[in-house]
Amino acid sequence: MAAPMLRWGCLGRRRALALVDGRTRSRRGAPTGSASDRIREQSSVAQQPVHTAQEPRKGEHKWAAVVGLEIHAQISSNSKLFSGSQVRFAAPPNSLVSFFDASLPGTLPVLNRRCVEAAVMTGLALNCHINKKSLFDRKHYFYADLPAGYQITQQRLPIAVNGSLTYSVCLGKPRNQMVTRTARVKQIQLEQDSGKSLHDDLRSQTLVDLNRAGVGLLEVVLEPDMSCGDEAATAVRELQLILQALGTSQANMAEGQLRVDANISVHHPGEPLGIRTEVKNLNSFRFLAKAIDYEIERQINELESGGEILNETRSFDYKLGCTVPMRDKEGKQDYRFMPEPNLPPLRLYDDASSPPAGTASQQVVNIDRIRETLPELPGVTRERLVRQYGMLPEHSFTLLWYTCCGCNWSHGCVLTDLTVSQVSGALNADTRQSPCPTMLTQDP
Amino acid sequence: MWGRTVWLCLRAPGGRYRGFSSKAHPPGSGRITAEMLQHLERHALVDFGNREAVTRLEKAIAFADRLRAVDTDRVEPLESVLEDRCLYLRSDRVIEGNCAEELLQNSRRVVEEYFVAPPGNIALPKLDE
Repeated sequence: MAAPMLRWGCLGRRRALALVDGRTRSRRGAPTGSASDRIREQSSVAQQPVHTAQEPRKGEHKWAAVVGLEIHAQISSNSKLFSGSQVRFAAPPNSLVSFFDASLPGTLPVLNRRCVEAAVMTGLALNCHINKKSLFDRKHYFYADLPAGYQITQQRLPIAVNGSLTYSVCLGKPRNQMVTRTARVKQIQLEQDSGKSLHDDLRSQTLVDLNRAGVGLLEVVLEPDMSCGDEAATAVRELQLILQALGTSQANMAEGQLRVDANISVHHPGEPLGIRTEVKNLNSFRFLAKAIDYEIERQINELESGGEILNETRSFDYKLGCTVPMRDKEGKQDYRFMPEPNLPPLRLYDDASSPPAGTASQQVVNIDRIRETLPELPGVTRERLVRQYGMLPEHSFTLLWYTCCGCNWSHGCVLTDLTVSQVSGALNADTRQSPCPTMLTQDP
Repeated sequence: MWGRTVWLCLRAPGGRYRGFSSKAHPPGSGRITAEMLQHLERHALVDFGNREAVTRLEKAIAFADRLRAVDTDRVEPLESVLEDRCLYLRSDRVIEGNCAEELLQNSRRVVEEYFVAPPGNIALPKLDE
């Protein structure tokens, strides 16, 4: 696995983002194919310029872009959030569905302890305040792959709030200056995934597979603290590494375990924020960065030519390389949120607060116990690589990006799935071309 | 969804609900606008197809509106009648599933092991269907 990843990395580097005057200029290849031919896509090095986001024009530095993200990460668990059916990718259609998942009358949700622990763990890793009481709500909308007509989520009082995600972006002409940025984490909420719809346009029908319906999701909401596609993709990449280090989500974008919605607006610095659009369902780093940069430029062009931005939902057309309005939602959505009557408040405990007398231990989730089990996080690993092994900071990033999965960092086995020559080759290549690892063009 | 929306748009301007809409609807009267009616129809997947149905809806709204007379300032809402109970936590074991055949019996149309739904979003069935 390591070798092809290294190769992709090198190819990716040639398609790297170049920063000009602190602004992003995209020089990436045209996207081809879908998530399923990801591998082919990775190795095709199309060099033609596609579009230029926020190209600095002479005398024009007046627009500032604001990007916020909603990231859905599938929780890595054996069974679903509220039912005992299995969680597995690519199983035969409707084979992993319980009566509750199909919302047959009389079925009730029973919360999976593992999903609660995963949410708490993720919240702690993102420096969140963990709410000792959180609530579940119903969010209503009609879609064929949502059999209940509502999704159980945490709208009023989510499980974790007010955290932060720290990530590093490369700046400077040789791209060797690592600058640390922080995006605030507004909240993390537990919610159900929906089923999958396969649209058969030819026969004008929709095939529905409910295997994914009811799988536990962590929705991580990042405040609009980012300003371009590069930053947003780097933040998501860092979140992916954290989730994988924690084991709370496999966060594999190609399998839809990590999906991103981006809220984008532009404004003049010092003035109130502009009207935002939401670009839905971005499921690769490349498309994420590209869609955001395209949307920023579209909004600037629209406003400069006297148009206005509509508060609308858009999707990214990877073939055309642009965002287009989504047609199936007209006007403002009314989700008719209401408290989920079948689930009492979720209560968590810590060493200072004890559960009511007689509560069985398997019914108690203790925040402090989970804190003790947190593994070393990517940021700490990098720091250690730099401090303990004298590695250049940018190399510590490269190394983590290449070896994110299944490697136990805490016991010093940093190079378990790389040979020494592969590593030195990658690091040398880095030094020669651009010392900064480029993560946007690869989707490990 | 689109068909439905277009249908509503076409119907509303000169449609039969015009008489029921009032721009000024004092609280408590339950009077609703044509716009609100469409909104409710779309969200409830119910067709308020005649005057009687709309009158009933307006009465229901007027009935529920009386709740607004209750002063709830500084009163914490009751989230659930079970709020003093612990939420039961299940251990992460696979104990269900593998019943596609049984579930698919509920479906009017099936292709292989898939449920078959109409394209796009769920449309409100027209009255004559």
